[in-house]
Amino acid sequence: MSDEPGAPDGAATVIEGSIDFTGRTGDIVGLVIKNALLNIITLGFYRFWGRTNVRRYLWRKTEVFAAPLEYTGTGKELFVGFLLIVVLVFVPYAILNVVLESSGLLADATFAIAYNLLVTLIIFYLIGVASYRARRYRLTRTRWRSIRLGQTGSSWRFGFWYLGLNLLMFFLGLITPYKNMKLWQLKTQNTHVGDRFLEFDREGASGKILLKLYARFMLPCFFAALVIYLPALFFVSEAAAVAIDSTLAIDELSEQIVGHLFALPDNYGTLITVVWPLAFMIFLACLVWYKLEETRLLVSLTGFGPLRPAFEARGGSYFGLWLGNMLIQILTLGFGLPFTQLRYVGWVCKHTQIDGQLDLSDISQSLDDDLTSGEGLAEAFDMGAV
Amino acid sequence: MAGPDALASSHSAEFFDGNSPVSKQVEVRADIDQLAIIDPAETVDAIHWHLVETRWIDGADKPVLSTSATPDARLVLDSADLAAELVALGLLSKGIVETAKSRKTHTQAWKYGLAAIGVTVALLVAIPLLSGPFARMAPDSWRHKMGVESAEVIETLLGKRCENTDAQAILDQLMARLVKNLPGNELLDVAVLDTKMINAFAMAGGQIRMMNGLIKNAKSSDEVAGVLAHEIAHVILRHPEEFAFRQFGYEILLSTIADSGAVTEVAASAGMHLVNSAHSRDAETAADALGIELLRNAGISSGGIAAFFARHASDLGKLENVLKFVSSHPPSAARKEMFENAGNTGGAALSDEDWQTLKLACANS
Repeated sequence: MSDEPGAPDGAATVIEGSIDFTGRTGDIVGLVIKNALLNIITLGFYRFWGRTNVRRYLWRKTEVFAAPLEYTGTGKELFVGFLLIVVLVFVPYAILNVVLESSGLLADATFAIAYNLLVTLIIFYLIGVASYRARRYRLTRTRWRSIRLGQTGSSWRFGFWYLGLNLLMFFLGLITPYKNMKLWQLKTQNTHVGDRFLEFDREGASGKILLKLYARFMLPCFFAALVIYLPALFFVSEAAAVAIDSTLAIDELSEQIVGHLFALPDNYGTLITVVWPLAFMIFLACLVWYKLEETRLLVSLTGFGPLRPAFEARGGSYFGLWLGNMLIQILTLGFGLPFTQLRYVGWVCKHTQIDGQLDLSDISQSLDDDLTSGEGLAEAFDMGAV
Repeated sequence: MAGPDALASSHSAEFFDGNSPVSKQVEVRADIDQLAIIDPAETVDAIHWHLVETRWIDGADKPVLSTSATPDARLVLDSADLAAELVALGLLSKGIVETAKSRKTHTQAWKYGLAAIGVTVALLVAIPLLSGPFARMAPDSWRHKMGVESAEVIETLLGKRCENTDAQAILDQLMARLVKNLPGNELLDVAVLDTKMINAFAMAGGQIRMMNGLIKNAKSSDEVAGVLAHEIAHVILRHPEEFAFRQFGYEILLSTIADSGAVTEVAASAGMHLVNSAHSRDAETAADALGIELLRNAGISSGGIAAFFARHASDLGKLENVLKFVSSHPPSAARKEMFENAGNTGGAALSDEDWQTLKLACANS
């Protein structure tokens, strides 16, 4: 601890350092086995308590400036949140479905399409709401040096941003960098440690950084286009080969083109087994490369008082994390999830630095004491990241 | 293990007052039923935490203590010996701090938990009880639509409908004969599917499909008539609709308790399967009884179907007895006995000529 007894007041409260994760896989083997067994016996109901135990461990082993985080959430809260969602969302939806199905309204194609579209929109909206509420739950249950973290802002409003931006992205994929920056901003600006809020874009650099992001985004876009349009290009060139040495009527011609294409098993084979997977893999690699840069830039726009966090990670190291976690999940039939979470938290901490000095006397406990919400909705949509 | 010395000596710790992240180095001593927290730099009185209000909430080597009197405050002991000794003496508990607020959540959680268990049990009872009445209330238009959809799926999976018009006419006549004395009109549509499987299905809305393998395997037209009577009985008793309602109810129930863990899901669906097959065995027995009734009304011998089950009893008998509890049908031997006890000796179901035609139902396809 930097505040030694007897040091003059003021100087003792200024601290600096790093964010470290000291968890080890060996520590949680027993916990994982216990969770798996109890989950089986209770038909999965133990998961709320199991998840809480894992979080307590992960939080305790995450040290910010040499002080560990404390997780104060409980399994009961998660369970109650889950029950509320079953009663308020799932059961009404199931009943509505049965009523519509038996009334024969769904037999009408127009009604069925409109209904399904509406349900999809509502689910998408609720996913946005849920992710925001889950984040608030985890933050309010987190303490550092006895100080509660938290998140203000309306989850219903966040849900509209989430739905709207994702809808735009559906029609206009190029909006992705802007969308991610906007959602990041909504989340960070509303996050507080005690009575002090995180800040986003302290120097008005977001415009410049958005341009940088777009420059980076072009590469995955190029490969996405390749993955999607390569088969089309292939079709067109093959069709052209038929068309050139032919003077047939239009319907005969199209018949020939189709016949010609389906008589090309060799070229098809190369496309499907070599070119397409290769392009897809390059696309994924580019996407990771973009996402890491995006995270780096968004983190650099975020600050807390005089502290400037920095995130820097290589694609190769992310690939190692991802591959290892995939293997763990497959080999443990999904029960090894906590191992993957431990690896993920460790990886994030390893690649995050915090520059600057923080005067602890600038912070005090926040008055807002939000101990109400669980994260039931997120649970329902299976979004509990950690 | 910490000795009693731990109680007598004073221990260094880090103290957070609950308002500021700035901590103080303090000395902690056990003082009968409380902890005395002393700041050596200040001359003010020590802070006292009652042990009954205090919990060891986190940390193993460096215990984190909290008290319900000031839930935001934290005391982080430099070593575990004092806290371990107090726990050993039963003076200090581990776990979360109980405040008025968290106690309220606690009571609420119990209420929700009991309500959830109540709803689950009520659903487990209500689903099988209500699915029968629901099935009987279902309008014909809905039953027909559902049946046609299931029939399409079955035909895609097993084999397409055989289009021999002569054989179809014979089958339709046989069916008409079996239902002629029934009050009201039943939705019924029977067809032969081109597959070697020895089986027959009744689906919602009176859609009945007999596998060509069953007709080929039959030694007489009475056996086919017996199976058809059994499937018609399922239709009259609305078993396919009842099954659909029950399945739907159980799936909703299952979806709320299932976890991402694969083993849990398998365990849960195995349980549901056991419950379902018990209902299914009852339904088969009921359909057998009504089937005999239909055969009797039509003046067809039930000796044929008894022979059919006799053949299958010797093939499958041993295995079926072992699988009695997981199987959806009663053991074949028991069914053979039931048909024989019916003591029904009517005439033949079809003329020889018609029977030969029916056997060729899928010959062209």
